[in-house]
Amino acid sequence: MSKITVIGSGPSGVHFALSLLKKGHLVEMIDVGFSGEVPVNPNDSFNELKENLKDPVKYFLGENFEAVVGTDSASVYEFPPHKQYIFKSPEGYDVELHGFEPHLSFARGGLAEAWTGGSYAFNDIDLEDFPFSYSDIEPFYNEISERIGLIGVDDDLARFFPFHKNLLPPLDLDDHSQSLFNTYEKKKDKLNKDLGMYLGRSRIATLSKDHGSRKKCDYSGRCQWGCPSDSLYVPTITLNECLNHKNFKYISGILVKHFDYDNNNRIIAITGFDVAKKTEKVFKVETLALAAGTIGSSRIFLDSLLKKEGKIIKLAGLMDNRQILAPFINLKMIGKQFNPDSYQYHQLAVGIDTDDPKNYVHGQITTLKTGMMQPPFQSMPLDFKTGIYLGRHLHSSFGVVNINLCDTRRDDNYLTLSQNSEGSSRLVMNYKPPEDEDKTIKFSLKKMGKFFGKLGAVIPMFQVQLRPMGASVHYSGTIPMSESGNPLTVSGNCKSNDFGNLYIVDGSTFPFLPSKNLTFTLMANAVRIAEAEF
Amino acid sequence: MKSSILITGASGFVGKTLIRKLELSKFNSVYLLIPEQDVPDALKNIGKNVVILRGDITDPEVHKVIPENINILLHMAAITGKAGRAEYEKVNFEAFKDIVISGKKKGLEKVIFISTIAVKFSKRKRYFYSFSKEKAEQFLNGSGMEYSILRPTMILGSGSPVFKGFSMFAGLPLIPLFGGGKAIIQPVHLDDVCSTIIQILTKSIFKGDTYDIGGPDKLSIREFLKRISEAKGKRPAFLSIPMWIPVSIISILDRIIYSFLPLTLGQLATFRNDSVAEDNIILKGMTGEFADIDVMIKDSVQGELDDQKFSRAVRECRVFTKYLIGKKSTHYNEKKYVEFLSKTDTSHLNGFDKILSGLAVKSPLFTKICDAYSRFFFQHSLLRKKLGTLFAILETSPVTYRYIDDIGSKNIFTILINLGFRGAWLVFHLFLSILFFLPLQILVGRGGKKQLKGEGRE
Repeated sequence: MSKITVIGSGPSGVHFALSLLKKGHLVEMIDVGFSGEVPVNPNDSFNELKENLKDPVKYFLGENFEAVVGTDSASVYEFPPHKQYIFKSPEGYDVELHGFEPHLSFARGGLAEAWTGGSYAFNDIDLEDFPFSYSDIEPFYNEISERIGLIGVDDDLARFFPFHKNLLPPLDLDDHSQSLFNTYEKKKDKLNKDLGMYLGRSRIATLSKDHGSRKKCDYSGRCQWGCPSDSLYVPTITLNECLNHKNFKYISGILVKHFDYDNNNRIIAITGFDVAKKTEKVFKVETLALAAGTIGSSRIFLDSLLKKEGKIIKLAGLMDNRQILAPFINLKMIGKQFNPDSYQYHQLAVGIDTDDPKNYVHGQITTLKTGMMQPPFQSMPLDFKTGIYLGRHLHSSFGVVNINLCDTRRDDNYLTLSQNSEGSSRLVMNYKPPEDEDKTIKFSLKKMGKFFGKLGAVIPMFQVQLRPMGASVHYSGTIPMSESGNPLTVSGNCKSNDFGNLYIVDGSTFPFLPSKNLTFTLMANAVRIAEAEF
Repeated sequence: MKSSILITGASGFVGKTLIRKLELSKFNSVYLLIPEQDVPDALKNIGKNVVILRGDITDPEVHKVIPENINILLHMAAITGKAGRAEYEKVNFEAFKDIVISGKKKGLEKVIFISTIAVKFSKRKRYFYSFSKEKAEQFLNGSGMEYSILRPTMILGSGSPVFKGFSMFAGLPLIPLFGGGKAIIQPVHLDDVCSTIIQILTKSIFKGDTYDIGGPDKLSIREFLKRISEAKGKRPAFLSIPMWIPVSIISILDRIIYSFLPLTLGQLATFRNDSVAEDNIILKGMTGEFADIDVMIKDSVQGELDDQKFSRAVRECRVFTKYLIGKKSTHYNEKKYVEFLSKTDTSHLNGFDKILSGLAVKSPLFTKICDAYSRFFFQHSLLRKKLGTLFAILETSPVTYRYIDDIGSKNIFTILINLGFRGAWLVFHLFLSILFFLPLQILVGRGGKKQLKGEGRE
């Protein structure tokens, strides 16, 4: 039985910890761990909240109306006020950004506390640069599916992401998604052949059946506002499971600054900063696992080298999925009444077959149900009065496809440090999109435009929004898995090639980022490491 | 042992401030009798031991629901301003009498009655308000209750109804001074009236006495009006009118067209009598801490400005709601909109932005024209921010969200035809707005390119 110190409580950290605990190890998890409120009125639907809360506007828009999207906002939707804690940074966490606008999280459960649950297994093509194949990680995909509860079916999209075990039956489709799906079913032979495009059910980490103490989705329409029945999986569910283990110790309120290592490159301690008391605290370490997310873990790594050796290095290969939000209007749904009591996030996904299968383009289709209408009105080329008329009658026909592009490790994209006059460090992020990105975007939008056109929907291209790099929160690639044994890499089992007792169990180690959401693979990989190395 | 108290007039001018200052937890139970159906915000969630009773104090049914074992009655409810003799009598005397009699049967022992200094006036012909208060005082005196009667002078402070009247006078280009404005007044601050009531409750002073409450300064009405006028940044000019003129005219008209008169004989009494407080044991040692006349005027003027700002905001909310969804705004919509405006920094607005916002509130039609122009030529205007936020409020509020969400099922062609008309209507308004606003914007300056920020927004 050994003691492993895990930094961070995101999806990688909690599943790594849970596997270790199941194997009888001692786990100490150190985390800043900002936390939010429990969902209000858990039995109320989305509209019942408006009726029953004392101050619904404060709940939905925030104390200072911060969820109202302004005319020059970069986002179509702001995160709900009560989820803002997820993006709160501790005082003095300095960053300098060049071409990258990341969301950072120091919350209990990390960024995945605000995810939309998309969980797609990587196939052998996606894993080509990884030192393992799909068959090596498949058991861990199955294990994670069992743990978190995942819905999905063996449909046309299985050609892009393998159909693995332990998938739950899907949820009922909302009316709009059903309409798109039905049209696709009628025309799919032509769409597959002419456009190389496929539509199917999203794989989502939510429940269509009760799962332990978690209840199945009750279609309350509150997904974006925090699932009150815990049917939509978030990492704090697994963290709470860890907390029930006697061998688990969770220390929150600590921002880990760096680790200290001896001359044999063995880590002996970590130095943390008590966020409340504003004092430093040292924790002894036997084995360390960094799971603070690519940016968090990379910074700890960089700061540790700076502290011990006084040198500033670059961690190259930063990756993130470029996301393009393409709104669409389904003509068949115009003038129909929408049903607010529906699953709110994406229920359909779309895939574009490309000449090089590694460049697969993935899209998630979200139809508008209980999402607020105010944000799109800001950018409509109409006065509010006409916009509202249009919006009300088009509500049930609105949707958005979130198109994701893959990313590769490139030397231009890196994390490093700079020092200010007081000697403290600042994390510097540099990112340049690939040179042929415009071409890929045009290709994807052209295909999507045609595809949705065939489904009876229109994408108004002037409303398409290219999200800034960093917006997808799929950061990865800075300390990649490699069989080379080179410095600043990790082994196939994510053991550091620089420090003997260090594991990096988050996205930092991914050598390639497919267009599919990486969170599911993060969790499966963390379990794979725990099983292989401990 | 802790007492239980029934407070009437808790939602009134003095009541709201008093409730905020009173340590309610020191009572076993606190019952607040208010006439409003909707509980005012100031009285919401103020203590677990607080019970709100809704009803008109003149309604005998209300007297029946007065709970058992109430020890103290603090009676502030009254009708002031301009009402008929019978109404004054019914509200200020009869209702009070009934509550005391009804309460006595249920264990009521002590009463604090808020009366008026006007009871002491010597010249009070047809001053029905003071008569009704005097009758109530006399009833209490013979009721067998332990009591204290308070006779405040003119109460000033934020929201003071009497100040509004004087302020209106002080705002005139030529201020009429009946009787030369020589009558002496001794106003008292709202906070100090509340402190006095709290003192009586805390020290349990129920000796069957009557206490005048006045502030530290005595001044003539002329001086008072002069100071109000100056506080509002004006240079006052007075027109002295001998007292016999208004008294003669109003004496005749008061009996014929009472309800149409801007000033009644009763109201004129303030100009005919000195309103000063006699020293008493309660005020002994307290008046040194009372607010002086300058503070009172400052707070009253500020309150008036706040009221005006609030009224403007509510009107704006109503006009904009009508424009956006074609419906009336609810009280909750208005409250949230006012809250949003109070958190919005408008200090850096340029002239054109102000003009646009000012014109838009004239009517929903103006809002349409201003909005159409803003959307295409001034996207970052305050008006767009206001309309966007108000719509967000409407779609997250009870009642209004339902209207926005529910469309039933409509035929696509009906929608398209409707949209065509609306589009043409928009183009027409846009054309109008360009004719008017484009030269104005060029003249006044574009500016306002930066997104407006609320306090909590980055």
